Amino acid sequence: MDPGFWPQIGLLTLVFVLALIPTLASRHMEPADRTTLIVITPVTFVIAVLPGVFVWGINKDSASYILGGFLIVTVAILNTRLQPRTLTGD
Amino acid sequence: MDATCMRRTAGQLVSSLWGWVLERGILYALLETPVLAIMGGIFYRVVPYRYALITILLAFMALPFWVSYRRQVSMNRDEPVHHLHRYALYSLLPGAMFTVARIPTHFLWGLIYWHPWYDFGAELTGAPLGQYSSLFPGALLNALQGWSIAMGFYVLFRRHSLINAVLYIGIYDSSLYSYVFPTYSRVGLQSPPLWHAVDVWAHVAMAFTAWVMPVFHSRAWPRFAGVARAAAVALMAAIVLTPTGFAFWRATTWQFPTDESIDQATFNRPGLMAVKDGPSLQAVDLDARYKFTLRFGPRGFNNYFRQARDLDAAPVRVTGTLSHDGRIIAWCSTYVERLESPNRVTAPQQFWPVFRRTQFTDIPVQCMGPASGAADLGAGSEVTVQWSAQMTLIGDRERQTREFFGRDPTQLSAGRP
Repeated sequence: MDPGFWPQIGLLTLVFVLALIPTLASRHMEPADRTTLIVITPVTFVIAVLPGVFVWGINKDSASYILGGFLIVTVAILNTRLQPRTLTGD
Repeated sequence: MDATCMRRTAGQLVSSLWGWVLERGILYALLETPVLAIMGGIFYRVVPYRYALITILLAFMALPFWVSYRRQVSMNRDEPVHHLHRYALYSLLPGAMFTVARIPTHFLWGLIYWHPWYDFGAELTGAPLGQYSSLFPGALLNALQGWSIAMGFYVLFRRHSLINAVLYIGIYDSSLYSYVFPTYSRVGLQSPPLWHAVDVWAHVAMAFTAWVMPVFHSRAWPRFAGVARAAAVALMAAIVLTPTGFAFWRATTWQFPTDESIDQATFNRPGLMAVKDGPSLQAVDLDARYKFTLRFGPRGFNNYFRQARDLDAAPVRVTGTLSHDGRIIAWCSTYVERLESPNRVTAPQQFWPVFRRTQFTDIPVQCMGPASGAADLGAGSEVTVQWSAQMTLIGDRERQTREFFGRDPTQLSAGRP
Protein backbone atom coordinates (compact mmCIF):
# COMPACT_ATOMS: atom_id res chain seq x y z
CA MET A 1 0.00 0.00 0.00
CA ASP A 2 1.18 3.52 -0.80
CA PRO A 3 2.72 5.01 2.36
CA GLY A 4 0.77 8.22 1.70
CA PHE A 5 -2.58 6.39 1.70
CA TRP A 6 -3.67 6.85 5.29
CA PRO A 7 -2.29 10.39 5.77
CA GLN A 8 -4.20 11.49 2.66
CA ILE A 9 -7.44 9.73 3.58
CA GLY A 10 -7.16 10.91 7.19
CA LEU A 11 -6.58 14.55 6.24
CA LEU A 12 -9.35 14.51 3.63
CA THR A 13 -11.80 13.00 6.13
CA LEU A 14 -10.94 15.80 8.54
CA VAL A 15 -11.35 18.53 5.89
CA PHE A 16 -14.61 17.07 4.57
CA VAL A 17 -16.05 16.83 8.09
CA LEU A 18 -15.00 20.42 8.85
CA ALA A 19 -16.70 21.54 5.62
CA LEU A 20 -19.86 19.71 6.59
CA ILE A 21 -20.18 21.22 10.06
CA PRO A 22 -21.84 24.46 8.87
CA THR A 23 -24.37 22.41 6.90
CA LEU A 24 -25.70 20.67 10.01
CA ALA A 25 -28.31 23.38 10.34
CA SER A 26 -29.51 22.87 6.77
CA ARG A 27 -33.13 22.13 6.23
CA HIS A 28 -34.65 18.92 4.90
CA MET A 29 -33.39 18.30 1.39
CA GLU A 30 -35.71 18.34 -1.60
CA PRO A 31 -36.28 14.71 -2.68
CA ALA A 32 -35.13 15.57 -6.21
CA ASP A 33 -31.90 17.08 -4.89
CA ARG A 34 -31.27 14.09 -2.66
CA THR A 35 -31.84 11.74 -5.60
CA THR A 36 -29.47 13.81 -7.74
CA LEU A 37 -26.69 13.50 -5.16
CA ILE A 38 -27.27 9.82 -4.53
CA VAL A 39 -27.31 9.02 -8.27
CA ILE A 40 -24.58 11.30 -9.58
CA THR A 41 -21.91 9.99 -7.19
CA PRO A 42 -21.95 6.28 -8.16
CA VAL A 43 -22.61 7.10 -11.83
CA THR A 44 -19.47 9.26 -11.90
CA PHE A 45 -17.58 6.52 -10.11
CA VAL A 46 -18.50 4.00 -12.80
CA ILE A 47 -17.71 6.34 -15.71
CA ALA A 48 -14.70 8.27 -14.44
CA VAL A 49 -13.03 6.30 -11.66
CA LEU A 50 -13.70 2.60 -12.20
CA PRO A 51 -11.70 2.32 -15.48
CA GLY A 52 -8.64 3.58 -13.60
CA VAL A 53 -9.32 1.20 -10.71
CA PHE A 54 -9.28 -1.71 -13.16
CA VAL A 55 -5.87 -0.60 -14.44
CA TRP A 56 -4.10 0.57 -11.26
CA GLY A 57 -6.26 -0.86 -8.48
CA ILE A 58 -7.54 1.08 -5.50
CA ASN A 59 -4.96 3.69 -4.60
CA LYS A 60 -5.02 6.80 -2.40
CA ASP A 61 -6.60 8.92 -5.14
CA SER A 62 -9.43 6.56 -6.10
CA ALA A 63 -9.97 5.99 -2.35
CA SER A 64 -10.32 9.78 -1.99
CA TYR A 65 -13.18 9.74 -4.49
CA ILE A 66 -14.78 6.77 -2.73
CA LEU A 67 -14.48 8.58 0.62
CA GLY A 68 -16.14 11.69 -0.81
CA GLY A 69 -18.87 9.64 -2.47
CA PHE A 70 -19.55 7.73 0.74
CA LEU A 71 -19.88 10.99 2.70
CA ILE A 72 -22.22 12.51 0.10
CA VAL A 73 -24.59 9.54 0.11
CA THR A 74 -24.44 9.21 3.92
CA VAL A 75 -25.10 12.89 4.58
CA ALA A 76 -27.91 13.00 2.00
CA ILE A 77 -29.62 10.04 3.67
CA LEU A 78 -29.02 11.32 7.21
CA ASN A 79 -30.37 14.74 6.25
CA THR A 80 -33.58 13.12 5.07
CA ARG A 81 -33.90 11.05 8.24
CA LEU A 82 -32.86 13.62 10.83
CA GLN A 83 -33.83 17.07 9.64
CA PRO A 84 -37.42 18.28 10.10
CA ARG A 85 -39.57 18.60 7.01
CA THR A 86 -40.26 22.06 5.67
CA LEU A 87 -43.67 23.68 5.44
CA THR A 88 -43.88 22.64 1.80
CA GLY A 89 -43.72 19.03 2.91
CA ASP A 90 -40.40 18.18 1.24
CA MET B 1 -48.18 -5.05 -5.48
CA ASP B 2 -50.18 -6.21 -8.49
CA ALA B 3 -49.10 -5.88 -12.12
CA THR B 4 -51.27 -2.82 -12.77
CA CYS B 5 -49.82 -0.99 -9.81
CA MET B 6 -46.27 -1.89 -10.86
CA ARG B 7 -46.93 -0.67 -14.40
CA ARG B 8 -48.33 2.59 -13.04
CA THR B 9 -45.33 3.07 -10.74
CA ALA B 10 -42.91 2.32 -13.58
CA GLY B 11 -44.81 4.73 -15.81
CA GLN B 12 -44.63 7.47 -13.18
CA LEU B 13 -40.93 6.85 -12.74
CA VAL B 14 -40.23 7.10 -16.48
CA SER B 15 -42.41 10.18 -16.75
CA SER B 16 -40.65 11.81 -13.82
CA LEU B 17 -37.22 10.96 -15.24
CA TRP B 18 -38.20 12.30 -18.66
CA GLY B 19 -39.45 15.49 -17.04
CA TRP B 20 -36.12 15.86 -15.23
CA VAL B 21 -34.21 15.32 -18.48
CA LEU B 22 -36.23 18.03 -20.24
CA GLU B 23 -36.14 20.53 -17.39
CA ARG B 24 -32.62 20.06 -16.09
CA GLY B 25 -30.72 17.18 -17.71
CA ILE B 26 -30.31 18.60 -21.23
CA LEU B 27 -29.52 22.09 -19.94
CA TYR B 28 -26.98 20.65 -17.51
CA ALA B 29 -25.32 18.62 -20.28
CA LEU B 30 -25.08 21.68 -22.54
CA LEU B 31 -23.61 23.85 -19.79
CA GLU B 32 -21.13 21.23 -18.62
CA THR B 33 -19.41 20.85 -22.00
CA PRO B 34 -16.39 22.96 -20.87
CA VAL B 35 -15.81 20.49 -18.04
CA LEU B 36 -16.52 17.45 -20.22
CA ALA B 37 -14.12 18.79 -22.86
CA ILE B 38 -11.27 19.03 -20.39
CA MET B 39 -12.08 15.61 -18.96
CA GLY B 40 -12.17 13.97 -22.38
CA GLY B 41 -9.43 16.04 -23.98
CA ILE B 42 -6.77 16.50 -21.30
CA PHE B 43 -7.41 13.94 -18.58
CA TYR B 44 -8.78 10.86 -20.33
CA ARG B 45 -7.41 11.82 -23.77
CA VAL B 46 -10.37 10.38 -25.62
CA VAL B 47 -9.95 13.05 -28.28
CA PRO B 48 -7.46 15.93 -28.62
CA TYR B 49 -8.57 18.86 -26.46
CA ARG B 50 -8.89 21.26 -29.39
CA TYR B 51 -11.42 18.88 -30.98
CA ALA B 52 -13.19 18.33 -27.66
CA LEU B 53 -13.64 22.11 -27.54
CA ILE B 54 -15.83 21.86 -30.64
CA THR B 55 -18.48 20.32 -28.39
CA ILE B 56 -18.48 23.59 -26.39
CA LEU B 57 -19.09 25.62 -29.54
CA LEU B 58 -21.90 23.30 -30.62
CA ALA B 59 -23.44 23.29 -27.13
CA PHE B 60 -23.34 27.07 -26.82
CA MET B 61 -24.88 27.38 -30.29
CA ALA B 62 -27.66 24.97 -29.30
CA LEU B 63 -28.21 26.63 -25.92
CA PRO B 64 -30.26 29.67 -27.05
CA PHE B 65 -32.57 27.48 -29.11
CA TRP B 66 -33.13 25.05 -26.24
CA VAL B 67 -33.68 27.84 -23.71
CA SER B 68 -36.09 29.60 -26.05
CA TYR B 69 -38.03 26.38 -26.66
CA ARG B 70 -38.27 25.48 -22.99
CA ARG B 71 -39.35 29.00 -22.03
CA GLN B 72 -42.23 28.68 -24.46
CA VAL B 73 -43.46 25.27 -23.34
CA SER B 74 -42.51 25.21 -19.66
CA MET B 75 -45.29 25.74 -17.12
CA ASN B 76 -42.97 25.20 -14.16
CA ARG B 77 -41.61 28.51 -12.82
CA ASP B 78 -38.88 26.58 -10.95
CA GLU B 79 -37.42 25.33 -14.21
CA PRO B 80 -33.85 26.69 -14.54
CA VAL B 81 -34.39 28.18 -18.02
CA HIS B 82 -36.50 30.92 -16.42
CA HIS B 83 -33.61 31.97 -14.18
CA LEU B 84 -30.64 31.29 -16.42
CA HIS B 85 -29.54 34.91 -16.77
CA ARG B 86 -29.30 35.24 -12.99
CA TYR B 87 -27.48 31.92 -12.65
CA ALA B 88 -25.00 33.01 -15.33
CA LEU B 89 -24.25 36.13 -13.31
CA TYR B 90 -24.06 34.30 -9.97
CA SER B 91 -21.64 31.77 -11.46
CA LEU B 92 -18.94 34.33 -12.20
CA LEU B 93 -17.90 34.62 -8.57
CA PRO B 94 -17.73 31.00 -7.31
CA GLY B 95 -15.31 30.00 -10.06
CA ALA B 96 -13.09 32.96 -9.20
CA MET B 97 -13.27 32.23 -5.47
CA PHE B 98 -12.04 28.69 -6.15
CA THR B 99 -8.79 30.30 -7.25
CA VAL B 100 -8.69 33.32 -4.93
CA ALA B 101 -8.92 30.92 -1.96
CA ARG B 102 -5.69 29.30 -3.10
CA ILE B 103 -3.63 32.49 -3.31
CA PRO B 104 -2.57 32.31 0.39
CA THR B 105 -1.40 28.72 -0.17
CA HIS B 106 1.03 30.03 -2.79
CA PHE B 107 2.82 32.09 -0.16
CA LEU B 108 2.39 29.56 2.65
CA TRP B 109 3.40 26.35 0.91
CA GLY B 110 4.52 27.32 -2.58
CA LEU B 111 1.45 25.86 -4.32
CA ILE B 112 0.94 27.27 -7.79
CA TYR B 113 -2.64 27.23 -8.99
CA TRP B 114 -1.96 28.49 -12.49
CA HIS B 115 0.38 25.76 -13.71
CA PRO B 116 -2.46 23.62 -15.19
CA TRP B 117 -3.51 26.70 -17.15
CA TYR B 118 -0.38 26.29 -19.27
CA ASP B 119 -1.50 22.74 -20.11
CA PHE B 120 -4.98 23.92 -21.08
CA GLY B 121 -3.64 26.79 -23.17
CA ALA B 122 -0.94 24.69 -24.83
CA GLU B 123 -3.40 21.94 -25.72
CA LEU B 124 -5.72 24.47 -27.31
CA THR B 125 -3.26 26.68 -29.17
CA GLY B 126 -0.15 24.53 -29.52
CA ALA B 127 1.83 27.33 -27.81
CA PRO B 128 4.77 26.21 -25.63
CA LEU B 129 4.27 25.65 -21.91
CA GLY B 130 5.43 28.31 -19.47
CA GLN B 131 4.77 31.29 -21.78
CA TYR B 132 2.18 34.06 -21.82
CA SER B 133 0.87 32.57 -25.07
CA SER B 134 -0.28 29.44 -23.22
CA LEU B 135 -1.07 31.17 -19.90
CA PHE B 136 -3.68 33.58 -21.24
CA PRO B 137 -5.87 31.10 -23.17
CA GLY B 138 -5.45 28.70 -20.24
CA ALA B 139 -6.72 31.37 -17.83
CA LEU B 140 -9.78 31.93 -20.00
CA LEU B 141 -10.49 28.21 -20.24
CA ASN B 142 -10.06 27.83 -16.48
CA ALA B 143 -12.52 30.67 -15.86
CA LEU B 144 -14.97 29.02 -18.25
CA GLN B 145 -14.65 25.70 -16.41
CA GLY B 146 -15.28 27.36 -13.02
CA TRP B 147 -18.29 29.17 -14.40
CA SER B 148 -19.57 25.92 -15.88
CA ILE B 149 -19.28 24.01 -12.58
CA ALA B 150 -21.19 26.73 -10.73
CA MET B 151 -23.85 26.81 -13.47
CA GLY B 152 -24.13 23.05 -13.10
CA PHE B 153 -24.95 23.49 -9.43
CA TYR B 154 -27.67 26.10 -10.06
CA VAL B 155 -29.24 24.05 -12.84
CA LEU B 156 -29.00 20.64 -11.21
CA PHE B 157 -30.47 21.53 -7.82
CA ARG B 158 -33.91 22.87 -7.04
CA ARG B 159 -32.81 24.39 -3.78
CA HIS B 160 -29.52 26.24 -3.69
CA SER B 161 -28.94 25.48 -0.05
CA LEU B 162 -25.61 25.36 1.75
CA ILE B 163 -25.78 21.59 2.19
CA ASN B 164 -26.37 21.02 -1.53
CA ALA B 165 -23.54 23.40 -2.44
CA VAL B 166 -21.08 21.79 -0.02
CA LEU B 167 -22.02 18.25 -1.05
CA TYR B 168 -21.97 18.93 -4.80
CA ILE B 169 -19.14 21.44 -5.21
CA GLY B 170 -17.24 21.03 -1.94
CA ILE B 171 -17.18 17.24 -1.80
CA TYR B 172 -18.32 15.72 -5.10
CA ASP B 173 -16.29 18.01 -7.36
CA SER B 174 -13.26 18.06 -5.08
CA SER B 175 -13.26 14.24 -4.77
CA LEU B 176 -13.32 13.94 -8.54
CA TYR B 177 -10.58 16.59 -8.79
CA SER B 178 -8.52 14.68 -6.19
CA TYR B 179 -8.79 11.61 -8.39
CA VAL B 180 -8.37 12.89 -11.95
CA PHE B 181 -5.54 15.37 -11.48
CA PRO B 182 -3.01 12.99 -9.86
CA THR B 183 -4.14 10.05 -12.00
CA TYR B 184 -4.28 11.70 -15.42
CA SER B 185 -2.63 15.10 -15.34
CA ARG B 186 0.02 15.77 -12.68
CA VAL B 187 2.97 14.38 -14.63
CA GLY B 188 6.23 14.47 -12.69
CA LEU B 189 4.55 15.92 -9.62
CA GLN B 190 3.95 14.57 -6.17
CA SER B 191 0.43 15.13 -4.83
CA PRO B 192 0.88 15.09 -1.04
CA PRO B 193 -2.08 15.16 1.39
CA LEU B 194 -1.67 18.93 1.71
CA TRP B 195 -2.31 19.38 -2.03
CA HIS B 196 -5.57 17.39 -1.71
CA ALA B 197 -6.62 19.35 1.38
CA VAL B 198 -6.06 22.64 -0.45
CA ASP B 199 -8.14 21.30 -3.34
CA VAL B 200 -11.03 20.60 -0.96
CA TRP B 201 -10.60 23.98 0.78
CA ALA B 202 -10.80 25.78 -2.58
CA HIS B 203 -13.91 23.84 -3.63
CA VAL B 204 -15.55 24.54 -0.28
CA ALA B 205 -14.83 28.26 -0.75
CA MET B 206 -16.45 27.95 -4.17
CA ALA B 207 -19.44 26.14 -2.64
CA PHE B 208 -19.96 28.83 -0.01
CA THR B 209 -19.83 31.53 -2.68
CA ALA B 210 -22.32 29.63 -4.84
CA TRP B 211 -24.64 29.47 -1.84
CA VAL B 212 -24.13 33.13 -0.90
CA MET B 213 -24.78 34.58 -4.37
CA PRO B 214 -28.58 34.00 -4.56
CA VAL B 215 -28.91 35.10 -0.92
CA PHE B 216 -26.93 38.25 -1.63
CA HIS B 217 -28.97 38.95 -4.76
CA SER B 218 -32.34 38.53 -3.06
CA ARG B 219 -31.59 40.13 0.33
CA ALA B 220 -28.66 42.55 0.16
CA TRP B 221 -28.69 43.82 -3.42
CA PRO B 222 -32.20 45.41 -3.33
CA ARG B 223 -31.14 47.45 -0.28
CA PHE B 224 -28.08 48.83 -2.06
CA ALA B 225 -28.25 52.05 -4.00
CA GLY B 226 -25.87 54.34 -5.85
CA VAL B 227 -22.39 54.13 -4.40
CA ALA B 228 -23.06 50.90 -2.52
CA ARG B 229 -24.09 49.16 -5.73
CA ALA B 230 -21.09 50.54 -7.58
CA ALA B 231 -18.79 49.40 -4.77
CA ALA B 232 -20.35 45.92 -4.76
CA VAL B 233 -19.95 45.62 -8.53
CA ALA B 234 -16.34 46.83 -8.30
CA LEU B 235 -15.58 44.31 -5.55
CA MET B 236 -17.10 41.46 -7.54
CA ALA B 237 -15.22 42.51 -10.68
CA ALA B 238 -11.99 42.61 -8.67
CA ILE B 239 -12.62 39.08 -7.36
CA VAL B 240 -13.32 37.82 -10.89
CA LEU B 241 -10.16 39.42 -12.29
CA THR B 242 -7.86 38.57 -9.38
CA PRO B 243 -6.98 34.97 -10.36
CA THR B 244 -5.74 35.97 -13.81
CA GLY B 245 -4.13 39.20 -12.65
CA PHE B 246 -2.29 37.48 -9.80
CA ALA B 247 -1.12 34.66 -12.07
CA PHE B 248 0.29 37.10 -14.63
CA TRP B 249 1.96 39.18 -11.93
CA ARG B 250 3.62 36.17 -10.30
CA ALA B 251 4.53 34.62 -13.65
CA THR B 252 6.31 37.83 -14.64
CA THR B 253 7.97 38.74 -11.38
CA TRP B 254 8.72 35.35 -9.89
CA GLN B 255 8.01 32.31 -12.08
CA PHE B 256 9.88 33.25 -15.25
CA PRO B 257 13.03 34.54 -13.47
CA THR B 258 13.02 31.49 -11.15
CA ASP B 259 12.65 29.10 -14.06
CA GLU B 260 15.35 30.86 -16.04
CA SER B 261 17.83 30.65 -13.17
CA ILE B 262 16.99 26.94 -12.67
CA ASP B 263 17.55 26.35 -16.40
CA GLN B 264 20.88 28.19 -16.35
CA ALA B 265 22.06 26.24 -13.31
CA THR B 266 21.11 22.99 -15.06
CA PHE B 267 22.83 24.02 -18.32
CA ASN B 268 26.01 24.82 -16.37
CA ARG B 269 26.26 21.58 -14.43
CA PRO B 270 29.87 20.38 -14.47
CA GLY B 271 30.61 17.25 -16.46
CA LEU B 272 27.31 17.29 -18.30
CA MET B 273 28.90 15.44 -21.20
CA ALA B 274 31.76 13.02 -20.61
CA VAL B 275 33.25 9.81 -21.97
CA LYS B 276 31.60 6.87 -20.26
CA ASP B 277 33.15 3.93 -22.07
CA GLY B 278 36.47 4.37 -23.79
CA PRO B 279 37.01 3.21 -27.35
CA SER B 280 36.85 -0.42 -28.28
CA LEU B 281 37.73 -2.04 -31.54
CA GLN B 282 34.55 -3.48 -33.00
CA ALA B 283 35.64 -5.05 -36.26
CA VAL B 284 38.43 -4.99 -38.82
CA ASP B 285 37.82 -5.85 -42.46
CA LEU B 286 38.30 -3.31 -45.24
CA ASP B 287 38.10 -0.64 -42.52
CA ALA B 288 38.60 -0.71 -38.80
CA ARG B 289 35.50 0.17 -36.79
CA TYR B 290 35.65 1.48 -33.24
CA LYS B 291 33.05 2.63 -30.77
CA PHE B 292 33.08 4.77 -27.66
CA THR B 293 30.23 6.08 -25.51
CA LEU B 294 29.51 9.57 -24.26
CA ARG B 295 27.35 10.03 -21.22
CA PHE B 296 24.94 12.98 -20.97
CA GLY B 297 23.73 13.86 -17.50
CA PRO B 298 22.71 14.15 -14.76
CA ARG B 299 19.56 15.40 -16.49
CA GLY B 300 16.92 15.59 -13.77
CA PHE B 301 15.89 18.84 -12.15
CA ASN B 302 12.85 20.37 -10.49
CA ASN B 303 11.28 23.36 -12.17
CA TYR B 304 9.62 26.36 -10.51
CA PHE B 305 6.72 24.33 -9.13
CA ARG B 306 8.82 21.34 -8.12
CA GLN B 307 7.80 19.31 -11.13
CA ALA B 308 10.47 16.78 -12.05
CA ARG B 309 11.83 17.42 -15.55
CA ASP B 310 14.73 16.17 -17.63
CA LEU B 311 17.21 18.40 -19.34
CA ASP B 312 16.60 17.76 -23.03
CA ALA B 313 19.04 18.06 -25.88
CA ALA B 314 18.15 18.03 -29.53
CA PRO B 315 19.68 17.48 -31.96
CA VAL B 316 23.02 16.11 -30.78
CA ARG B 317 25.92 16.07 -33.26
CA VAL B 318 29.14 14.40 -32.18
CA THR B 319 32.36 14.45 -34.17
CA GLY B 320 35.81 13.30 -33.11
CA THR B 321 38.96 11.38 -33.77
CA LEU B 322 40.88 8.49 -32.28
CA SER B 323 44.63 8.81 -32.37
CA HIS B 324 47.49 6.52 -31.49
CA ASP B 325 51.13 7.58 -31.21
CA GLY B 326 50.22 11.03 -32.42
CA ARG B 327 48.50 9.97 -35.64
CA ILE B 328 44.79 9.78 -36.31
CA ILE B 329 43.59 6.21 -36.72
CA ALA B 330 39.83 6.83 -36.99
CA TRP B 331 37.24 9.54 -37.51
CA CYS B 332 34.08 9.50 -35.45
CA SER B 333 30.61 10.94 -35.80
CA THR B 334 27.10 10.38 -34.64
CA TYR B 335 23.82 12.23 -34.84
CA VAL B 336 20.87 11.92 -32.48
CA GLU B 337 17.70 13.70 -33.49
CA ARG B 338 16.26 13.69 -29.99
CA LEU B 339 17.12 12.02 -26.69
CA GLU B 340 14.62 9.88 -24.87
CA SER B 341 12.86 12.12 -22.39
CA PRO B 342 10.12 11.80 -19.78
CA ASN B 343 9.10 15.40 -20.58
CA ARG B 344 6.93 14.15 -23.42
CA VAL B 345 5.16 11.54 -21.26
CA THR B 346 1.51 12.47 -20.72
CA ALA B 347 0.50 9.78 -18.20
CA PRO B 348 1.72 10.31 -14.61
CA GLN B 349 2.18 6.56 -14.03
CA GLN B 350 4.56 6.26 -17.00
CA PHE B 351 6.67 9.28 -16.04
CA TRP B 352 8.76 8.02 -13.12
CA PRO B 353 10.18 4.84 -14.76
CA VAL B 354 11.30 6.91 -17.78
CA PHE B 355 12.62 9.68 -15.51
CA ARG B 356 14.72 7.21 -13.50
CA ARG B 357 15.98 5.51 -16.65
CA THR B 358 17.06 8.76 -18.29
CA GLN B 359 19.02 10.41 -15.49
CA PHE B 360 22.04 9.63 -17.63
CA THR B 361 21.74 9.00 -21.34
CA ASP B 362 24.40 7.09 -23.22
CA ILE B 363 25.26 8.26 -26.72
CA PRO B 364 27.22 5.63 -28.66
CA VAL B 365 29.70 7.10 -31.13
CA GLN B 366 30.90 5.09 -34.12
CA CYS B 367 34.41 5.62 -35.51
CA MET B 368 35.95 4.36 -38.67
CA GLY B 369 39.52 4.35 -39.98
CA PRO B 370 41.88 2.41 -42.21
CA ALA B 371 42.48 -1.20 -41.26
CA SER B 372 46.23 -0.52 -41.27
CA GLY B 373 45.73 1.87 -38.34
CA ALA B 374 44.51 -1.02 -36.20
CA ALA B 375 47.36 -3.35 -37.17
CA ASP B 376 49.46 -2.82 -34.07
CA LEU B 377 46.62 -2.15 -31.63
CA GLY B 378 45.54 -4.51 -28.89
CA ALA B 379 43.73 -4.39 -25.58
CA GLY B 380 45.37 -1.78 -23.43
CA SER B 381 46.93 0.16 -26.32
CA GLU B 382 47.16 3.85 -25.59
CA VAL B 383 44.69 5.89 -27.66
CA THR B 384 43.43 9.42 -27.38
CA VAL B 385 39.79 10.25 -27.91
CA GLN B 386 39.19 13.81 -29.04
CA TRP B 387 35.54 14.73 -29.41
CA SER B 388 33.15 17.61 -29.65
CA ALA B 389 29.39 17.50 -29.14
CA GLN B 390 27.09 20.24 -30.38
CA MET B 391 23.53 20.43 -29.19
CA THR B 392 20.70 22.67 -28.19
CA LEU B 393 20.06 22.27 -24.48
CA ILE B 394 16.37 22.53 -23.67
CA GLY B 395 15.34 23.45 -20.16
CA ASP B 396 11.90 24.14 -18.80
CA ARG B 397 11.80 27.61 -20.35
CA GLU B 398 15.18 28.36 -21.91
CA ARG B 399 17.12 26.93 -24.81
CA GLN B 400 20.83 27.29 -25.32
CA THR B 401 23.14 26.08 -28.08
CA ARG B 402 26.23 24.52 -26.54
CA GLU B 403 29.34 22.75 -27.65
CA PHE B 404 31.18 20.38 -25.33
CA PHE B 405 34.77 19.28 -25.94
CA GLY B 406 36.91 16.51 -24.59
CA ARG B 407 40.39 15.10 -25.06
CA ASP B 408 40.78 11.87 -23.12
CA PRO B 409 43.94 9.76 -23.24
CA THR B 410 42.77 6.22 -22.52
CA GLN B 411 43.34 2.61 -23.36
CA LEU B 412 41.66 0.56 -26.01
CA SER B 413 39.29 -1.75 -24.17
CA ALA B 414 39.37 -4.63 -26.62
CA GLY B 415 41.89 -5.70 -29.23
CA ARG B 416 41.39 -7.04 -32.71
CA PRO B 417 38.22 -9.16 -32.61
